[in-house]
Amino acid sequence: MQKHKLYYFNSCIFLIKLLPLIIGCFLLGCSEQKEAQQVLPIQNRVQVAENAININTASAVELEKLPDIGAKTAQEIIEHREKYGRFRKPEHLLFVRGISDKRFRAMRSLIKIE
Amino acid sequence: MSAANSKNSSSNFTLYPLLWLAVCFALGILATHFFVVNWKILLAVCLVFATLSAIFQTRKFALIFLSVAFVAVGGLCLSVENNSVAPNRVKRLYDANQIKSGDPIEIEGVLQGKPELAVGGFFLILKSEKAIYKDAEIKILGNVRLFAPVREEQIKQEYDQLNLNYGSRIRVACQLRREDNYLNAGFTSSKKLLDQRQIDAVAVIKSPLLVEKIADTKTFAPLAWIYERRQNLIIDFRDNFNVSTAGVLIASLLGNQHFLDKNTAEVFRNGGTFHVLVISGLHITFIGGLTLLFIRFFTNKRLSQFIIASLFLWSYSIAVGADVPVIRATIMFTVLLFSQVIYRSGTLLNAFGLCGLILLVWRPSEIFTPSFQLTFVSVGAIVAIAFPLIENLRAIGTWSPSAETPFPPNVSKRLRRFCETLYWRDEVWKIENKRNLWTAKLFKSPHLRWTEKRNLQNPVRYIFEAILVSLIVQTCLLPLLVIYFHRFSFASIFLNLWVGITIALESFAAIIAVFFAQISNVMAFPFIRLTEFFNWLMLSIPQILSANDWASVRLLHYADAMKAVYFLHFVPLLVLTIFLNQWKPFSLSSKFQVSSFKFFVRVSAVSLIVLSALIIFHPFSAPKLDGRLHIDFLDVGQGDAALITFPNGETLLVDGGGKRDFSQTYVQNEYADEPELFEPDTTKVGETVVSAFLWEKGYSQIDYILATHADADHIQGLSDVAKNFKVRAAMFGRTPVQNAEFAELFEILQKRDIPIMKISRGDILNFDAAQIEVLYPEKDDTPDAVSDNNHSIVLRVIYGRRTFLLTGDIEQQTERELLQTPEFLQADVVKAAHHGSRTSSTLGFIEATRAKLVVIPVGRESPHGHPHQEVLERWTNSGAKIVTTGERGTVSVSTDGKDLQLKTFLR
Repeated sequence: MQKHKLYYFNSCIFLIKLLPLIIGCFLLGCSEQKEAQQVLPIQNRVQVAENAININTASAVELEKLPDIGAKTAQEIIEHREKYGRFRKPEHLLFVRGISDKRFRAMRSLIKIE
Repeated sequence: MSAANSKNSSSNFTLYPLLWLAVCFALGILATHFFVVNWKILLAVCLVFATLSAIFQTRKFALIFLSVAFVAVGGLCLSVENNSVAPNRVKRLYDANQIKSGDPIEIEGVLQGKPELAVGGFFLILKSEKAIYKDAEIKILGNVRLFAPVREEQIKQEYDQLNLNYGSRIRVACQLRREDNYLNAGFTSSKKLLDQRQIDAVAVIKSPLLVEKIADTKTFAPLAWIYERRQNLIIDFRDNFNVSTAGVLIASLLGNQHFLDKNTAEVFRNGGTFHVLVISGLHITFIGGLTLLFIRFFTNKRLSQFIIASLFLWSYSIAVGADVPVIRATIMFTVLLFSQVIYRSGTLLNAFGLCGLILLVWRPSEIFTPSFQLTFVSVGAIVAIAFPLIENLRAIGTWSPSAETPFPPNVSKRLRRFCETLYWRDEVWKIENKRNLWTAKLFKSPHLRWTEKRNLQNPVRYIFEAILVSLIVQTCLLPLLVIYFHRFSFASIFLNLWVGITIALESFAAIIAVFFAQISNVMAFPFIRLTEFFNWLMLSIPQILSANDWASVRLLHYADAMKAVYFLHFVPLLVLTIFLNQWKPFSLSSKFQVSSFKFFVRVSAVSLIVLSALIIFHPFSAPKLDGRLHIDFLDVGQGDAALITFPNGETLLVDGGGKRDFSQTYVQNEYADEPELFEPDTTKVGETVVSAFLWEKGYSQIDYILATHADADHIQGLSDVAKNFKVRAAMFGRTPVQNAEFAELFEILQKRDIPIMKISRGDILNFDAAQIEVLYPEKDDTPDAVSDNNHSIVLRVIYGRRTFLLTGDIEQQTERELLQTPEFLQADVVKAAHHGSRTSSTLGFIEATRAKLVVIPVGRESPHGHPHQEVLERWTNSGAKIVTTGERGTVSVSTDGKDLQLKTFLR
């Protein structure tokens, strides 16, 4: 009985010794934590031109006026619109086959959705 | 309660009751999986039998009741798990086709963990909450994995600005996918693989413009800290070490396999030691063991040792991503350790049973995953076979007369001498002898003097024990290794030891190096070189061995009824295990002296050897001849692969699928003079699709391989086939050695001494009653003759009255040339040229073939939009029936010379 008590006592002491270490870890962890912040989406920073083309209503001919867009891609855009409905954001144009990140950036300021 | 009950009731049950209960539980899961039973029935059965066993707890038959109750509980757990998938889980929505795979969708959710770095981008695990699909907002559940490619500096900066972190709430527009590609026999379903990793769907983020960060949610700080440290370590390893070393360290210590390079990974696979690169049982045991050793310096209280070691292990396993296998291993280690804390005399087998029970209750369906089976069989082999065996051998070797064991071990003399050589300690006996009132002279093994003089006993014993354990584990794992990896490595018995030791040394050196690197580069430099040296050392021996074909063989697995071999393999193993655990070498009236028992042991040992031989040399695996000519067009995504099986059983593989590899990059580390080439370890169509299909069909030899031309989607997979199978000859129209994919194949062919046959227009190849006419290209022996689409080999296969036309990737120009002799083009079945592209299948050509059936090998979603609509219309108008591999999976046509049969993977 005596032995048992000693055993538990010792392990408690050990844990208490360990406590500062654990608390230290927590504090270290907390200090790394940054304040939650609101980040503006990159896309909002673009200035859209006045004569921008509405990709939700434009015809193939109009779409071809955009830089780098040929008849084939224009057709793809229209097919995509028919299949999945209107574009909710200009960026969703990226879903169309043939429109890469680079191509999209080139035309970003020339398109709008409404 | 259950354990206590059974303890009282039977003497047999007392040693490891939990093991039997775990077995019952597992049986229940298996039974429910194969015969679907209503959960209400199971619940009733379970309650009735549990009550019965409680009532009759003092009787012997209470055990049977209890076992039945556990079988029912097992089944119950599985059906509860299966029915508990929420209706708005992403995986359910996709499986029920409520959301179509590949459709644009916007998902909002919280990031789990930091972005997982990879070469050329990073992975995100998003815990989804909301989705906008077709203008409607829906609530969803489940994790999705997103890959964001980062190839340019600008993209990298934009992602940095977004500051994606653990706990960030983001909205991503992407085309989520959850579908099975490569619909062929033998291919492991990708849905299954995702489910095992707890991921519901995957997507690639096409551009940072499609990612919106909404806010940072609150996270658990210590966890965030652990993730941060891990991320930094990955970057540190990457910056400091060469490609191969960094890949090994990041995979084996931090659980991120994206930085492994192809050659290193191949060496590990060939040696059968790839498991050290995956954080799992072995790792956790090793790290846990080390922590325990370390803690023993500070405290000798078992309870505190247990608490600290398991705390450390658990935070480690969470830091490395908390994958299911890691958690499993950690649970096992914790339980085994805990059993040592509460009762030191408890058998390991009992703790092993407890692990099984806990893990199966946690996730009943885990029992069907390879990783669970591999971990369990190997741990079981160690705990139930290796440990008792070594314990007995030690007891025999160290025997000296005492009150409990007055007589020498009751075993053959040879075994006794052997054990004594390994375990007898003469110094110990001398001390013991002085203490006793009486003296005795013991005659021990004559070899002892030799080993003791040279201090060899310890090393010899360690090596013997390690090899014994390794051998036992490999024997038990044999069927699983063949089924899941199609590989058996004889060398792995030794290589596992070698790699285990060197990787430990390497890890220590690496940790010291990284620590010093924080202080100064000069201090770190020697350790970095040391780490790289250990890495080189680790790879050198497997490399030498893997140069020999015998060291590691690729194996097919049996189909149909012969599959029973894999289950039968475990029967003699089980019998031997039971005998071993009942073996009492000091008992005079040992059962082992009875001749019938000896006979049983011998029979099981022999049948074990016979069954192993049956698995390794697979004498009865060859497919049966049915006198028909078969052509299987495989679904290799965008690409071609067709297996022709001739009536006499000879095989010809026309093209092997594949993909061009764009993933090579150059990597510069801080201590190297120039950048190093890095080739990531990606899965390849030739291995996972084509080879797997051939193995599944029961082939270990493909007589001939043929590449129509040197485009990656036709030729690359043949390299893997040439590596994995016996090949009699390879056929080409041209040999463009400057082409990277061709050069790769060419090198393998030369290494394996496979002769090359060049074929050209006018050649006729005879395969028994069947015949192949080569229609194209013209002979051109110049070494740099182009091998492009328009110089594809065109073949017409003829058997009896039936003809098949295989056209490679020929385009209009070649079709026109071929039309000069239209009588050679007539065919019942045509493989449409160039995956149904509008560059080919001209009207004149289509009419000349007069085909009944046209097969178009094409991916489910081709990057080039294949097959083109006008091509489909042209074929339909000509009266041919169209089948594409993208829609139907493998397309198999066969003929006995008169009839024509069509079968597809999906009906």
